[in-house]
Amino acid sequence: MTGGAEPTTAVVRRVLPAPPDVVYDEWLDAEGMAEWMCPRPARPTKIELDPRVGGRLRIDIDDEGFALQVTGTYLDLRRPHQLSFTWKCSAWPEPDLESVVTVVLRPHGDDQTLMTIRHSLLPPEVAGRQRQGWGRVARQLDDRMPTRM
Amino acid sequence: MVEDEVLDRTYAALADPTRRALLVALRVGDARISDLARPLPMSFAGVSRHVGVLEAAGLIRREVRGREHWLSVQPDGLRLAEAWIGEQTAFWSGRADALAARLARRNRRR
Repeated sequence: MTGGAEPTTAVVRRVLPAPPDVVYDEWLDAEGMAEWMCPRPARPTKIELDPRVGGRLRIDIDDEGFALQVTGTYLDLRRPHQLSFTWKCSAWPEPDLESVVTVVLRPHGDDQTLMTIRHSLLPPEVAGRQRQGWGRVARQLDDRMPTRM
Repeated sequence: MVEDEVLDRTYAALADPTRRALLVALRVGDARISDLARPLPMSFAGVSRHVGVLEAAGLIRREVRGREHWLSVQPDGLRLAEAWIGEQTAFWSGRADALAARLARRNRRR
């Protein structure tokens, strides 16, 4: 197994040269995101972000002539330390597979941030409850994905 | 089974801490359900049910030797899940680098 106790989650950590509030705002800035969200040569053709709990996000991407979309819903927005949203990608083998991205931002040294990105498939039992309200789902996700460093 | 169904089953199986503990225990070597149940605060039937889920997901295999059922880990069962995790890790690693570069440019402009 990879990842020891958390085999279902991809985790990436990076120290960034800006304080948490600046990094947080980058995640919600559609214009800025166009610069860093797509691996070249793919490029975003349109980014729409509605950053409120229950709001939608949509990233249209042109990957050398192949059009794909990432779509999701914001679950949790706590400036400047944490945000999470669901993430579906039309290019995945299962385009309806729901996953969750959680970004945790912690101050690190002078004006730096330790950013932790956790990307997990949405556990089936949570997916089944989505219609019962995002607030509740967000709380369940909090329980499930403690912000450990 | 098509790929996404395999992934669904794998992740559903791995989503439970008891089942992850069972897989870890089986990495040491093959075991019977009673061996697995002994250190756990759980009945034989409870462990047996978890074993059934892992078996259905292709993560462990059951072999009948005489009157005993022996269980072993099937590492191939984790292959698709690992591939998914590997892809997402590479993707976000690249995005984190690109965001760091954007912030560094912004700092220089200031």
